[in-house]
Amino acid sequence: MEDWEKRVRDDREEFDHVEMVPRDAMWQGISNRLDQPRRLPVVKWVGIAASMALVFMAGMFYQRGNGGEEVATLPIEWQAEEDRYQELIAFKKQEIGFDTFQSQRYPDLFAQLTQLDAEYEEAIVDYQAYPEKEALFSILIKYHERQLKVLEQLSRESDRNKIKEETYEKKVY
Amino acid sequence: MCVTIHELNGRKINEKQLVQRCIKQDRKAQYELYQNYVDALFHTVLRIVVSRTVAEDVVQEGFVKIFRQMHRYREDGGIYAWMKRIMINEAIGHLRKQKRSIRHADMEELPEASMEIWQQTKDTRDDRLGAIHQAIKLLPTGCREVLNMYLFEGMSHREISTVLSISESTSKTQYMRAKRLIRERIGTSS
Repeated sequence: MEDWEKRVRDDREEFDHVEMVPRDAMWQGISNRLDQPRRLPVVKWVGIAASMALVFMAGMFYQRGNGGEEVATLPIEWQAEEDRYQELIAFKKQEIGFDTFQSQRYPDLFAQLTQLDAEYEEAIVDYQAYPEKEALFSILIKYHERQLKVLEQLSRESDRNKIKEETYEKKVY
Repeated sequence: MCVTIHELNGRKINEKQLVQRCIKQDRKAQYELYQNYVDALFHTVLRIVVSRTVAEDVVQEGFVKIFRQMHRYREDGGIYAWMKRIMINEAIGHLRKQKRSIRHADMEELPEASMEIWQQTKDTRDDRLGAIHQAIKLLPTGCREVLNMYLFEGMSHREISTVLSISESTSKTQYMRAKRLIRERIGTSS
């Protein structure tokens, strides 16, 4: 171990006080944000989007039935793709028995899932006002893909742990 | 077992009670929690993102997430560890977004060695400590992230590989590289 590494390990806490921390200004910002009305959770947004899509589709059928030439302005493809990924994620969770996992056994992977949820939630909110919807839509899909990867990783970790436990039991008994 | 005691409205409460109050959006409890951990979390973020302005934004965003998602905290590892993980993810997420937006994919690039970085350090009585801090801030992004998580946050290379989506061996290589660069910058090694 080099001397500077030793210094960091020995005086770890001192390194958390090297620079001035703008405590008051940051708290003001946090407090203001917390006072703002809370964003709806993802599930509600997805629910709202699904309801809007249904209403729109019903309207399209009605107009077609009446010879209307209305062009779709709501992103139906978005909804279809979104539904497909939601189904995939639900299926994956069921397949790996997600509800039985204990978050404390896989803190990193659960932290990643929480982070992905939060980022997705933000992107969904941004979607309403974002001009380049196609670009943002591809980001939304990437969140789902990453979520699927994390779930797969969780499944692999769990399998590995099971093998370890079985091997241990065999040794003990 | 060590129980952290906090003071709220003149009453002493333990950390579990403080967290419960934060979940109920008690602003005084949130402020108490903030005051207790903001210095450490700010420096954790700063060591990853380097810029003070960015660190301020990231810390604010992180605390908003912490207070809004506190009902998800499961008491495994303590509240500080949970908060720190959110902040690290937030800081890394910020760097990734920045990298995407400016098509700055080269992990090898050095951050700007601006005078701002050097001037912002407190007038510490200890030059050596300040020199190490600055040398870390001047590391390239990839090895700076690894060094902070390994040396300062006590994470294993395996944990780091999961958080950064890199292999364990890449994490180890980046750490060795960080060590070499710091040694070159501050001069001495044992």
